[in-house]
Amino acid sequence: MATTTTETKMLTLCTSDKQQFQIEETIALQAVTIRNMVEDECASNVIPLPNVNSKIMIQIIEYLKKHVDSSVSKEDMEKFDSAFVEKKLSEIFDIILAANYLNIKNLLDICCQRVADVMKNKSPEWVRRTFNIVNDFTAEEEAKIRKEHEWAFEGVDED
Amino acid sequence: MKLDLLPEECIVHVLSCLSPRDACQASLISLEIRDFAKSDVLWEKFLPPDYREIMSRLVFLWHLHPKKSCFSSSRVLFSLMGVIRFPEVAELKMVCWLEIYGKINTRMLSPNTVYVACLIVKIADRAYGLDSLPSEVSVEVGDYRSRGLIYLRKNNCCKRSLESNLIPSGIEALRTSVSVGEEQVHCEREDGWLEIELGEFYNDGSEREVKMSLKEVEVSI
Repeated sequence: MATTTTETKMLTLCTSDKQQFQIEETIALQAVTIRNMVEDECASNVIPLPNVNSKIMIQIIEYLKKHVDSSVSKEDMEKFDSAFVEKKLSEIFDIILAANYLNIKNLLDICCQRVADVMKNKSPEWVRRTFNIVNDFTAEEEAKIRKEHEWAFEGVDED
Repeated sequence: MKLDLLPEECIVHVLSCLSPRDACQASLISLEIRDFAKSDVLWEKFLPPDYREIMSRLVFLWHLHPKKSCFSSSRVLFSLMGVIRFPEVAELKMVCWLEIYGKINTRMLSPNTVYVACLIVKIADRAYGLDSLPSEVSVEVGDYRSRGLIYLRKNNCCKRSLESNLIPSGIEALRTSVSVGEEQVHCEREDGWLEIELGEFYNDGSEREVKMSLKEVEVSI
């Protein structure tokens, strides 16, 4: 992370578990929340990010470093993005929360797309199981919704 | 890891990455997710970004909806209607040759979906003669063409007009020469307008132009 160029401005980010990350300002400013904090001068040398832990921060920095590099072709960037989201869903959820808080639009887009890809053409039962969601419909309510949207439930994978 | 622990805007974001059909299925996951799956915020995301401009240019209200999609069609239309009031609609007072024509690019529609094209009209109580001859409806996408015959009339009102009594042979000739299917029954909506089905087509996702039309058929007597 350290660089020999003297004029490169560095920022220190402090995560919820009190880990400090020194990164170049240009990299960090891609996160709109950080940019606003720096512009409003409400952060001194250290920017506190109480909603992001160090494990997730490492991954977000990896993403931001790649995306700040203008020499990367569009194709390579897409390859990087699709490899980046090849993670466990629980991790993707943590990254969504962090990207939403830090306001990094592209990262949020690719992670939400990843979750949506998992849900595509899957039955509600499957989605509930996969995402640990409790079915809070009564049998009557469920039957009613199924009837209303009958067309949408044709040809759905049951598992 | 729980999907429903994400903030509201993130859940809507995830749902908006789905197809309209998958979003409908998602409404059965849980009560909370059903509320998001039904929200206008979500369905507005499924519309093309310039839909306000498209709607402002409309004279006739064309309505395309995924086949059998009562939920999503009403939802899309509701989203549209919620934002845009139609200050004006065209009223045809007298015509000797009726032809209504419209087109839309398939990129505005969801891929891999069967769509039904409808024309939404209201027939004035004083209207007459619209159903004296059948009208030909057609939908064309690339090489594909679907055609059918309809009568412009309310379902509960079977006006037998003078002309059709006079030229039954003409009508019969027309039926056999043009008709490709059964005469369709129009679906009257809650607001009293009629949905006239013009035909259906499959959108495979490639960019093509959909041409929809309704015209009085030419009849030689």
